[in-house]
Amino acid sequence: MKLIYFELKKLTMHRLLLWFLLVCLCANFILCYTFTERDDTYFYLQKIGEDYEKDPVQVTAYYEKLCAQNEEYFLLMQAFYRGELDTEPTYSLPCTYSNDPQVDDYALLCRFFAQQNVADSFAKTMEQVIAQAKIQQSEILYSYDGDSDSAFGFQQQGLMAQTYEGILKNTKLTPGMGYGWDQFFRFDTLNIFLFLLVLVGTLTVFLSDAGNVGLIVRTAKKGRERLSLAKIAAFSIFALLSALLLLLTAWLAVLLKCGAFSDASNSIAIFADFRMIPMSVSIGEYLLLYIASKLLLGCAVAGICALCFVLLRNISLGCTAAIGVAVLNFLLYQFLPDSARYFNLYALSRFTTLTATFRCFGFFGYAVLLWPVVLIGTLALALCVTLLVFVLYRRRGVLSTTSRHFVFDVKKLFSKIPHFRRKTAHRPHTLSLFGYELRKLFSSRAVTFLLIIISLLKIGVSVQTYAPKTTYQTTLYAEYMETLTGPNSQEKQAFIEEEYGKIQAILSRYEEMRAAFFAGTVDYAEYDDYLKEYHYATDRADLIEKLRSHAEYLNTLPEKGITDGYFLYDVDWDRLWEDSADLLLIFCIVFLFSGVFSDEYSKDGIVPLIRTSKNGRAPVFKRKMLLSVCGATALAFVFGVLDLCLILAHFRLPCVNAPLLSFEFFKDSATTLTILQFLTLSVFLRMIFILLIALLATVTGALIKNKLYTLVSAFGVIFLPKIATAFGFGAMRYFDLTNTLQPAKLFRLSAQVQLGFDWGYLLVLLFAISLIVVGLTLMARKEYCK
Amino acid sequence: MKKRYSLYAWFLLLCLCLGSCYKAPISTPPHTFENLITTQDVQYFSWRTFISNETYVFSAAEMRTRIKNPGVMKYNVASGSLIEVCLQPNCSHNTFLYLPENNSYCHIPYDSKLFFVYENKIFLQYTLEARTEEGQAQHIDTFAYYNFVTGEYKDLLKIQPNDYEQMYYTFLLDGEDIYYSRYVAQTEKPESSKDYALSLCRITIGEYKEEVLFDLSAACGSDPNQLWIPFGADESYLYLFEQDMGHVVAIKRDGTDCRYLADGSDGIISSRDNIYYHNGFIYITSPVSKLDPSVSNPSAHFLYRIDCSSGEKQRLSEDYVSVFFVCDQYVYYQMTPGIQPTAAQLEEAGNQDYSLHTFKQIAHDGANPSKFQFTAKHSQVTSSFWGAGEILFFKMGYREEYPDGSGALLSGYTLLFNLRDHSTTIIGESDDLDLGIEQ
Repeated sequence: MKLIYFELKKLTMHRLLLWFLLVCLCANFILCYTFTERDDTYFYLQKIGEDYEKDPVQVTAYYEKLCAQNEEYFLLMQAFYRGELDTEPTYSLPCTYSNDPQVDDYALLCRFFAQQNVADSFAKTMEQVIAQAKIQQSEILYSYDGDSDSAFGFQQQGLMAQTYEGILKNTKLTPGMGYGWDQFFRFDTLNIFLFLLVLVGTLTVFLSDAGNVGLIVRTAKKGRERLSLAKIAAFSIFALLSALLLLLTAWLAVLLKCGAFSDASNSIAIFADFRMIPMSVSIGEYLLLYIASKLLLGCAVAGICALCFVLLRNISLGCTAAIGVAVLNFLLYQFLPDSARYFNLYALSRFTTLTATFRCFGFFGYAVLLWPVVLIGTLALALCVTLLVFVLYRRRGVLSTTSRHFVFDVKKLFSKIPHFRRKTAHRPHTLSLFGYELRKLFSSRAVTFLLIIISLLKIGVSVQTYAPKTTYQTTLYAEYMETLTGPNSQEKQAFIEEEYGKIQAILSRYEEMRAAFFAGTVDYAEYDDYLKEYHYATDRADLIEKLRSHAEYLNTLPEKGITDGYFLYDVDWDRLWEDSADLLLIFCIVFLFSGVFSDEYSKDGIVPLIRTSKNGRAPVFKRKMLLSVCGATALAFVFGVLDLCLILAHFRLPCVNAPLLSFEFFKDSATTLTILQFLTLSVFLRMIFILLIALLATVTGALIKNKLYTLVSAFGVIFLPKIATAFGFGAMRYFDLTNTLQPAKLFRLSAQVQLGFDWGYLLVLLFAISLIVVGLTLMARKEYCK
Repeated sequence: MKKRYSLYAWFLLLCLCLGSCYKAPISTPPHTFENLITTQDVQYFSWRTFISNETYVFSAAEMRTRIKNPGVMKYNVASGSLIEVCLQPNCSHNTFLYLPENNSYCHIPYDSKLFFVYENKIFLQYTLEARTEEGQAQHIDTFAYYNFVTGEYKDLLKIQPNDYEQMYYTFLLDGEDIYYSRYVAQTEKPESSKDYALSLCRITIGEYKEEVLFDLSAACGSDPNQLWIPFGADESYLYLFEQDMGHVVAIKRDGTDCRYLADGSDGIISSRDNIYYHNGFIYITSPVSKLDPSVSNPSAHFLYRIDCSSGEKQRLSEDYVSVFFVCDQYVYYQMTPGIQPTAAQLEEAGNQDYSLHTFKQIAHDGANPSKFQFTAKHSQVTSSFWGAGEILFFKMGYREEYPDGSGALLSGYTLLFNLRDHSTTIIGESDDLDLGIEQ
């Protein structure tokens, strides 16, 4: 605490700073006073309000009398323009409240009575906005197919409706005129003074320790960490104080000019500028938020200024950098599109603009209100920046006040990054063989780079593949499934037949109804009703055909021993069964593990040296094979978890205990497995095949001893059959190893081939690949360990 | 080593978490029905009263509802719902810009000029009104787009009109390129109109940067004061209309091979608001008086099309035509009420009490005419009409008749004509108008 006190005292000893503060406060006051506009209408309305409270009947009667006078004048003017009067009628209304002929009693009373209904008009506006948002939302739902624009638009309108529903429920507007506060909140020139004061104050905090004095201070007992903390506290306190003083002077200026402020307990929505504010707050509550935003802004700016000083270790350059950051924020606000312009400090400085109306942005598919994010983001920024300042100042301090002594430790900075380190520290051998093999694999820059690229690609591809893709038709299908989901039954069959009959009957009447309408035998209302039914029928005609066909299929299942084939929402299940092979995983596995052995034989490889060492043959061979197994498992696990998370989030997969044969996808098989059992089996099968592919790539590398040739061979073996199949060589699909990562398709193929039974081909394939891998492994072992 | 592995693990975990957070709502595409009218291959001159995409028809200040200060509206052709395009809540749709900088003006205001729709973006032009510090009025013409699903907007071109340059451009969409012509200063400090050259410019959607392609006046071999404006494009050529003389030329995108298709001096083009381009043909109306001196009525126009490959003109209508609309399937035109070549046609078209409105649907070569009519008393079709789905959209003006025989167009409303069942629907402030329409 003493250190903080001394830092603050040092600040106050700088008379220039104090004079600068005074000048800024005065300039702020004067400018605010100049730009504020007084509106005496507020006071006149106050008087009317007082009279109305005393005797509402009299005030109302006076108002009605003035209305009549006004109407009479209007009619006289119409007559004058029609040429019925010779002289233009004069119009003189009393101005007892204002004593100003420009502001007559009629205009004031109109305004007063309009304000009495302000709560109703506010509610009406909110209802219109909510209704509009809901209509927009339903339009997006009706019209588009889940592209990113419509996904965000849907969320945005929903959030808007939700926000304003909350405001409508919680906001209570008191009749009256808002006055003074809006001008105070709109005064943005204050931000310039805040920035200048914070910059100069922070500069002063560091100025005292720049140069040789700083070097001495840093050798003292508390000259680093505690001094750093004290300086942070000092410039933060100065920033907070500056913000408060500027706000106070602005408030005083507005009070002096306007003469009064309206009731702060009334809702902020009383002001036209804040009518659409997306929060239900009173003027007083908004004032607190406004002050908090300025204090936060001050702290953030102070932190950034301090960071510039300690990063550059130079006062003058730090100043330039801080001004540059401010200008950059301003330019970003001016030139970025609306979706991005508010994520900077300049936007926070214009807190009124930020909060005046509904603004949101898209965050991973969710619409989020902007202003809380900007506040929280600024707070996080301020904390991070402060932490950085603490760390940097503690380590380095600030060196110089002038640019002649600019020092920037580039080499030291870069030497921290591992890849740029020239010498590695000498460490004792603490890792196991497996550990060193692992380290060898991941110390390669190519591997690191590849993993990063593939991770990003995988995320992009998976998000795209497993994105929700519902359409109007699938929504209707889901509606039918609400009734039909579950085991097949006579009632469900009957429902489908009845619905089919109904739709066909409607469709068959179209020509007849149309002819009758034009003949006049059917009136418009009846024809309109029929058209509604017709559209219902045309929407569902294809669907009901599909359901009928599926019902017929389910009726054939008892012959295969399945008595309870299910109706279920199978759209996303079908997407899962039809899912394509994870080629990225295959690519990653082959690329990574083909080098486990072959890299050792490269130009810089030291395999002859390894094989002469004590554990260099069989143990190393085993560890390398183990590395392939563990690495492939880890990769498969990570990729699988990502896919699983997306599937669970976006797919609708009901009835996991339904028989697998409920899906026509598997109609060629006779299995009695349930969906869950099949999925479990699929996961194991997939894992086994992944391990086999990894081992295949590894032992191929051991035999070929050349990374490039190994890669070519491995990719050839894995992808050539797929390419050949695509070019029309259908027989090659039985040798397509990418199928092994698609258990559903593999099982279907196996069921179609029927080598003895449903699983025949699949087991033969598994056995064949295993045999090849085992054979090659033995050969590789013999080669490596000879 | 351990730190690096843990970093990799944290990175992968972060990627997993971020990837699994992605969520989009369920959404549904439109109910499909038999679309009778599409305008995918249709291009036109200038901004339109109505424009459309597969789902909506958009109109600025033409489809009025009971909402105060209506902005640009969108009409869902399938469901019939009519709502504002502007997504700002309680927006006043004004275009007032008070200096210093104020971001509160509407970016798709009520008097926007709409050009076309690309994906979810409406491309439009609007004028901002500003006041200088001295209180003088200032206008800033802006060409921009507005995304009607997200509310995102971007100003693409801004110009403060001066003596040398006005934004009366029209913007032509060709694939992902937007073509327009404008006067581009040839010097750093232009001092007169002679320092400007009319140039063909292009903005590519996505990049949104202006490219000046070539000097149009030089390429067309014309006077520098002649204003050429693109209105159609195919794979090889751009088609330009000369604003004052009414010439039509075809020119390649590199500024070569300029061919005159229609010499405006013979008066072949009667109205620049009624020029369409579709599949190698330009559709126009032309005053009969220019071809047949016995017909002196300036309102008598025939419908023509010009073959862009040969320049040959073909007359499509036997009737006098007032307004017309070209879509991918047909050409629709209104028979001009009150004047027609023969008495029988005159009876068909209706007289000048502006009650009966007769339209014909023809194939693109003028064959297979069919007719439909509707009644809307004291009303006149005031601008080019449009079609989408099963509906034709007409902007109508209600004529107040005065005792001396003159009249004036007062209220406006939009009339929707359903081609399937020939029903009509009115949108707009028409409750107190004597239209004689049963809805």
